[in-house]
Amino acid sequence: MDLQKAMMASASGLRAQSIRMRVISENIANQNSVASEPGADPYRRKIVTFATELDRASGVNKVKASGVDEDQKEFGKKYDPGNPAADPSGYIKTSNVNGMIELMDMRQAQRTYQSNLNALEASRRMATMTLDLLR
Amino acid sequence: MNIKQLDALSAYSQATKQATDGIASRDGGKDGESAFSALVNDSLGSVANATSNVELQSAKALVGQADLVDVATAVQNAEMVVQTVVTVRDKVVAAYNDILKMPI
Repeated sequence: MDLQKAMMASASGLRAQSIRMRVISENIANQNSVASEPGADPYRRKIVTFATELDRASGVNKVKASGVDEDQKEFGKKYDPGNPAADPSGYIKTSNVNGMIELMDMRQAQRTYQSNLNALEASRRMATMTLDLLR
Repeated sequence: MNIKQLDALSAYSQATKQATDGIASRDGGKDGESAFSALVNDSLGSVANATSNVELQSAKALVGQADLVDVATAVQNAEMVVQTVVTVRDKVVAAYNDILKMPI
């Protein structure tokens, strides 16, 4: 049954990484979102934090996306006097999403997902091999 | 001729009755249910559980309510359970056949 628990842990990793991927996609999609009126804030970058979670029924340490927090880094500034959201001096606030950071985060999420998939595949292969012993 | 056939028939029915009684009492089963049939029931129950879970998850995925990961793990789990049960069944049937073919 330990192989089955291993598969449960891998599956929790897959789930956590898909949540992370969703948040990264939201960040990239909203990279150019600005405020709608003067003084309002534009899109704030979001970060996923992971935490370990003990599944008491099976005794497996699963991973869980424990929360989606906002990045407190300050917003960018752009000179755009024609924009309706511009302040009296002609500047608008831009979102604090950095495309390069999102790209690296995405790469990491992708690789972690892949590792979990490989672990899942290995556990399954081990179980099948054991079963082949009976044939 | 007729009487002899009847004789054979009653002897056969008596023998089968003895055989089933003997097996049930030897297996320690209750109400005519042997330990072997309990084992088969248990394993078939787990197969039914796993496959019904797969059906539930795939139906949810079709209407966009389930995660792809849930569907994949449910299918994988059902596959493992079915494979295990089928392999053990094959092994048991093979053993039974071996005993059946044993020269007396």
